[in-house]
Amino acid sequence: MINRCTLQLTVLLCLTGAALSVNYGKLRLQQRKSNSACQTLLWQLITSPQHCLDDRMDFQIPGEVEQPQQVRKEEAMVVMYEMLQQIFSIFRRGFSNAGWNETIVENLLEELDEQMDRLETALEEITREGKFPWENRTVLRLKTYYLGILQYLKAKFYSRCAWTVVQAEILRNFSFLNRLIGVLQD
Amino acid sequence: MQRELANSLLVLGAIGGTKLKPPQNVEVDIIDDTFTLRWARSREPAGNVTVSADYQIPGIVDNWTKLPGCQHVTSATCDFSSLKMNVYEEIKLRIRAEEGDNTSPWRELDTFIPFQQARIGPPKVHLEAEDKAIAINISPPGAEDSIMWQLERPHFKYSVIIWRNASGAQTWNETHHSRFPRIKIHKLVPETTYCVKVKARLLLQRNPAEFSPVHCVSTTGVILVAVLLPDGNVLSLRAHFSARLESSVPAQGLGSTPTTATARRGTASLSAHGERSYLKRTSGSKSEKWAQVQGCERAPVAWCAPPQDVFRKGIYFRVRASRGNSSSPWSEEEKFDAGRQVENELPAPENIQVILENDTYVLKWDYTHDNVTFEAQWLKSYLKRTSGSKSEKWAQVQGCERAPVAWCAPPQDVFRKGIYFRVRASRGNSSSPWSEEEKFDAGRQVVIPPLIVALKPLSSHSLRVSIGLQDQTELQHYPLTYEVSFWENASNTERKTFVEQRADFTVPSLKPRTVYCAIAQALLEDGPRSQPSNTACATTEAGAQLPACLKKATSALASVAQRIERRPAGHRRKTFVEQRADFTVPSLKPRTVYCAIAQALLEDGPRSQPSNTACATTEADSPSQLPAPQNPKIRLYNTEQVLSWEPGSLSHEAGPVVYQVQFKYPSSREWSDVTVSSVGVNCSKISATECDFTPTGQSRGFLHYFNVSLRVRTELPGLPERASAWASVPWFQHYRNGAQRKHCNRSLSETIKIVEERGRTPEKRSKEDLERLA
Repeated sequence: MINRCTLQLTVLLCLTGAALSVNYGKLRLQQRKSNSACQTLLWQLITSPQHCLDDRMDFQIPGEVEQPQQVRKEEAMVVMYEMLQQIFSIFRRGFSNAGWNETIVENLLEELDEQMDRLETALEEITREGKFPWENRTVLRLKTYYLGILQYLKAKFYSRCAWTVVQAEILRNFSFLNRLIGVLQD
Repeated sequence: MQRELANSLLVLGAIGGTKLKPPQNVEVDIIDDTFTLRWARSREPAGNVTVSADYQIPGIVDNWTKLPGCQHVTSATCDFSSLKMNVYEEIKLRIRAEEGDNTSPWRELDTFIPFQQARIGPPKVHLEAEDKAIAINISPPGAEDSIMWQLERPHFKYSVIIWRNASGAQTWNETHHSRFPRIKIHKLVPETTYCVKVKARLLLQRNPAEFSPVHCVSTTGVILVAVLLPDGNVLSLRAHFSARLESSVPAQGLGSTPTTATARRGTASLSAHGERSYLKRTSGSKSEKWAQVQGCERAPVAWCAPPQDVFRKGIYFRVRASRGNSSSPWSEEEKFDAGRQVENELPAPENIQVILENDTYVLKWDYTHDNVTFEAQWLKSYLKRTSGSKSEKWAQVQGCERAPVAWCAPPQDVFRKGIYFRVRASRGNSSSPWSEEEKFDAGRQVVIPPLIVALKPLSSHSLRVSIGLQDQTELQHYPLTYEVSFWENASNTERKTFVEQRADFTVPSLKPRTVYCAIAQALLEDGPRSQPSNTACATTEAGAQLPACLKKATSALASVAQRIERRPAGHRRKTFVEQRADFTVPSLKPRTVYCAIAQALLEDGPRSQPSNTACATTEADSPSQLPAPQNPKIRLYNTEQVLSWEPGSLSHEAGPVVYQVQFKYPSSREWSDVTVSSVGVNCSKISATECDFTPTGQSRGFLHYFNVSLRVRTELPGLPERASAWASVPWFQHYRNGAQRKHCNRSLSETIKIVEERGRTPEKRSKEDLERLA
């Protein structure tokens, strides 16, 4: 809520003297738990992958996400946030064709919202600390990647198979997210 | 100077076909989906100087290609929005001037990424006013089919600047930052015009943004309202003093001037005037004849109930507040409209909270008025990320549809992940506006695994509490606080609560031989609690107020005895003052019953209560048994673990003796020899009076977290039947830091009195003795 946002900002500002900063250990634990929940939910959603082999597509996720090199935790947070944002957007689209259980999708959206909420707070904090990695190219490459997924869905008219293929791709995304979470060390 | 030269060269060029210069001050301006190229107009008015541009996308369009919309342009800008491109990839532009066949050289611009370069356009704003709040609905910048922001639309963050549109000295404004496209600003003043402008931003990018146009709206709500009270008949004037009353009473004189009310809102006495409205039609100030409202000359509260005949058609009211000599200006004039009688002005509830009461989440709020019912709604927080008012689907909170009190206990499954709550009050047909929305975070993001608590008696006065977690791996990073509830099992005395950050601690000052129980809960800094642990109970040790080892000293004496014999003798007491908790009393008469009673002293004076009296008989003269080793001690320092002892008195023995050390874990029933194979060091039938278990290459030592019991005895090589009694070492646990908590090794002086008793029959004594020896 708006007043809470300003309150949070005010409180954080007042406490900067008291060395209030991101508790990475806690963030890592929470995100990891949330991420597992997301994976579990997504597994529950996948229905019939068998006959969709023809619709398979290599979306070409950016190499540095698939095989992460040494990356700073601020960079990891930014990349994670972008991924979560985009995954959230994908599941907000018209998936009526997919024949999914709406409750499961809602639960997934809730988990994603919670993860984003935590990261938003942490990102605001590192911005205040002046550690924000503004010129991050991975984020831009990820946008191209997710744009590709979106265009694929549109081109396939949001068919059931298209959704199944996208689900499988998002599952891969979650395992990459897990690896990024591991970077959040104090 | 140089420019003139350049210009003249241009002129020359135009005439003589010499060099044309490319355009100067070229800029790329992108806002939302509009791509514009701008340059400085050429100074030369003459001729057909046109400008053309090319583009290149490294990796995709490697050759310079004509930029659509920017070919042979005569003006100073061109629009190339029609170019289909990936806005996240680098693009290169080049531009030149042309005149007929003559072309300037290409000027290449710096590579840029459109997405990073673009300015964020103004968002669309829609305002809705309540009496003390304004709801702002924001639509993301750009068109719905925007290419630039297609992945960003649901994720814009917004900054809202709100100010009061009034002239005068006090200009008030506020900036609010919102993560979501819908925000509500509360605590505003009714009947006031506020203006708002909004701009969008992205969390991960630094794009500059433009403000929306200014939108203004007035809050509703009246300052003066006629209210129909519940009993149906009485009409009263109710004034809402939202403005502050400036006090001109000087600080030190606060006591002197009596104020009629000390409410924070600065209410003071109220005077009301009424005027017939037809009088307003006549101009001239004299014709406004305001008359005092009877019964409202000096009302001490923010309302008054005048005689009902005041409330007739066509009358205006105005109100002012006063304190002492000063008074406020008159309020705005309010016309009394008989049709508007039933204007109930219920304020919104405040301070919505979710409180944990006895393991149940309860929704609570504050409310000033009585005789209302409340309604609560909730919304899943992910729904706030989407714009459009239809996506805020607030749902009724079960069990809180018509709460008569300022709290309600809905089914616990409402309290899941991030959700928002809001509450409003109703009375009859009318209801208050919705309260501020309060976010609830279940805090179940972190589930503390179950706790295991164990109690161990340390002595007759203390117990050790040990708390463990079933699955400890990740939680090391958390500062966990433990709350341990501790009580005496049998009695009804109050439970004590210990709040500790350590997982092992001692509870002192307990009663001996009493069963105590404990149950623990863990807390994280910001609130979430674990489930209560198991209940663990243990009994403090018996009897004497002496530390346990001292008690063992007295019983060590007793263990030497074989038979209890009657032996009449005189009464004579010897006093030993020792700092050791185990020692030998030599030179006793054989087959005599001796008794001992001990008291402990601290260096600076306080004495303990006398201990129990322990009695034992010395052995008969036949040396049937070797004396047990004396004073067995464990030295634990860092990784060192050394057991040492003193030989028993060997006055009547000839020949070398050997020692045997045995160990036992609490879980095992049998004692085992300390050998190379079992522990890694040989302490079986050794002649040395020490056994070194320090973990080195050969010796494994004892593992750190286990309780180990040790005992040692004297043996004659080859004659196991002559072996002495076992001398036990008190159980120890090798804590992380290595140093054993030696209860006995404080600086105590101990006074031991030995009572030589005579004439007590074995039967009379045995029961007591048995008890004491236990």
